Amino acid sequence: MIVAGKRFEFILLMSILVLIYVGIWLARRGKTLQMKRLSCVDALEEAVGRASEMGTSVWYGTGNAGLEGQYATMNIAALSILGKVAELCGKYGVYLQYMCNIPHMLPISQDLIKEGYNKGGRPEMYNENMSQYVGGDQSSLVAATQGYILEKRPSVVMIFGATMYEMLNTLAFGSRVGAMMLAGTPRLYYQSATLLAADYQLIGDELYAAGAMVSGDPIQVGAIQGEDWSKIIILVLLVLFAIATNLALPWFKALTSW
Amino acid sequence: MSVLRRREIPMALYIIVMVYLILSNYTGLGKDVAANIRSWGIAIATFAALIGVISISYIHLLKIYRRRAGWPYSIVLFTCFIVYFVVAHVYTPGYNWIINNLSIPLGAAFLSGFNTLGVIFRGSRVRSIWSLLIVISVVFTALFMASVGPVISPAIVSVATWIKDYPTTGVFRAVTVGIGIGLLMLVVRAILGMEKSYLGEM
Amino acid sequence: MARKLKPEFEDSIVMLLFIVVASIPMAVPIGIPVQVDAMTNKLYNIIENLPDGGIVLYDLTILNWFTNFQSDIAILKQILRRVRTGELYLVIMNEDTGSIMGIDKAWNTLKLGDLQYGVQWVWLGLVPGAENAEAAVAANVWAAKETDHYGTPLSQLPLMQRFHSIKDLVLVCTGMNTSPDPPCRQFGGKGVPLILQNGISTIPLMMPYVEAGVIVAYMTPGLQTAGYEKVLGELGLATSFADAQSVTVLYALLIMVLSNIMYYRRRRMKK
Repeated sequence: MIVAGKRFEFILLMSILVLIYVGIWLARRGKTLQMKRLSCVDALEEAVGRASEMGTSVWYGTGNAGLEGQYATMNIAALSILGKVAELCGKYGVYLQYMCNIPHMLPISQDLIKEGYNKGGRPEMYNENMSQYVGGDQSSLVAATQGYILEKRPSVVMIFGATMYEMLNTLAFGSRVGAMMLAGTPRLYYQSATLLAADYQLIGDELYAAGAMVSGDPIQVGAIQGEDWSKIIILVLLVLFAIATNLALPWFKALTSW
Repeated sequence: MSVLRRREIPMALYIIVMVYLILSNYTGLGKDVAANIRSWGIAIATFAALIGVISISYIHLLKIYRRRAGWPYSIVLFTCFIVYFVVAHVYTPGYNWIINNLSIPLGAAFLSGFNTLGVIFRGSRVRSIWSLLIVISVVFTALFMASVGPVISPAIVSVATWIKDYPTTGVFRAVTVGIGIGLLMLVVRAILGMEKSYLGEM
Repeated sequence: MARKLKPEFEDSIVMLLFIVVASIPMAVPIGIPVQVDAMTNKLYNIIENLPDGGIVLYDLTILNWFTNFQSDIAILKQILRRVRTGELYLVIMNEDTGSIMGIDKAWNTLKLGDLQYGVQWVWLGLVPGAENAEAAVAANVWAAKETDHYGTPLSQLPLMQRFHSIKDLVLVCTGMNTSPDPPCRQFGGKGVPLILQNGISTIPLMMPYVEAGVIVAYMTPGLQTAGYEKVLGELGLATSFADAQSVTVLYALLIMVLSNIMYYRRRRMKK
């Protein structure tokens, strides 16, 4: 039934899918493994508190991507963190500015920020301008971000999600105005910028874990759990295959071409 | 009409198409149908360009009407949009001039490396032995990328090539695997109907 | 260094000096010899050794004229040499509107006027959908796109009668400036060599695929393209920027050293 040469791959795929499903199923029943503390998540409250003390705003961005394809999971995690930041801003009475250049992110972010301020205890602080759609492409997002940071001088700049080149510009301008910077993206290309310029980072898959942590959504937490189990299996297979390749064992080739 | 607005219909479409494409890839059955499904994806992506124009018009018109912060810039945006559109259809050499002499140079200047310098200036401070190792590898790699590197010393090429081929490749291979599993997470959530991002919901 | 400048002023000074330093090669040509690396030679040999009569698909997804596009143009120059002698045939597609804008500049540089359109080369134009577009073209290009960029049905283009899916190609080239995962997933591992033109900082991202044999060769802007232009014997913008690149890299290393000196001096003064 399965095409020759793809059987092992199919079995591995199904195993990973089953593990992720089992993780979600267990999480829905309240049985989750404890996740390690992430310094960036712990620093969210500290950052918003800093903005409150300095009487300035918090700038938040999710980058030049929306909820499509491989960027969906990244930006869902980023929007979960946005909801948490909005709640903290409501609690401390801080103005939160969110900017996006993808149309469908606007209504979602507006709902999240409004709900966040409600939960934080300051629903009257929310206004529509907190979530801005700045245009259709990356250049407009970069221009709007740079303009806001230079003009309003927020004391905290946060950029999470499926970010692209705008992350570098955002972090560079944040450092120009002396802002505290929190950043995180699973995108490989921008890990270096995150590590160089941000004060607190979420590296690679830590963004998904952070999104799950702050949202408390059992589906997200369970998926992270299943993902970790899958990685253990892949790690074991990697070690076995490395040994098999170096010893020129025949079963390795037979398995991968089965 | 209320039947068409139910969430179950797009979710069913999404799940059925996804499962079909996965099974077609592994069983080799129904490849022609799978190819047609992908070409429908191209047709939908073409509509996305139109939706982008409608969205940007709606949002900026609303901004102008309600006099929200920055509304004069929305007028500038519409003016530029109309000028580009008319010139592109009425006088193509003029449009080419705008693209070649304004858009391309401005785009290159905008996304240039000025901000990278600021990040390097602030971010390359050595505070530990690990950051010292990273800075040393940056020196070798940066010189390898410039024509002056091999002129200074051929050892720069050897060291930089080793850094590129071994530690960097190993790390990025691991992160690539992680991203792949993240995509599988999306597939599971979509098939189980737990993924609602494409419906515009969280 | 006793008075500390505001961070934005420090940044402005760094950027101003960068402009001055990058302008030095314009006034005083340095002429540092450009080396040709093994990957450039490999890419050149792969294109030179493609079987006669083969069709090459070039996927242009970026219009960053001064950097990535110069790499695309250099690769296209080599392919077009063989197209002009009737050894190869070329199909070009674009994945986003950004790469369509200003493409006339590319066509003028490549001087395509002497080629027979529809027979020696075809421009499919915009095939939107990013990775989905790549998957669709690889599976069945006739289902993905019914006409070329000029609106001519594919059935009226003699070259397209021989190109239905990726299996009819001898080479796929993709020009981009981001993660190489999508073209490697859709074009790679299908028995057709894949060449990537990608940004310099994506080399670590491409290396796992290069080691696995999914990407047979890659080209990056800047020095590698300057070396490639040297191999081709047709010097272009990349060569003219090579000196500036060397000077600016040295400047970047200098500001790294300076920032560390300033940082430790300020720490000592605070104590």
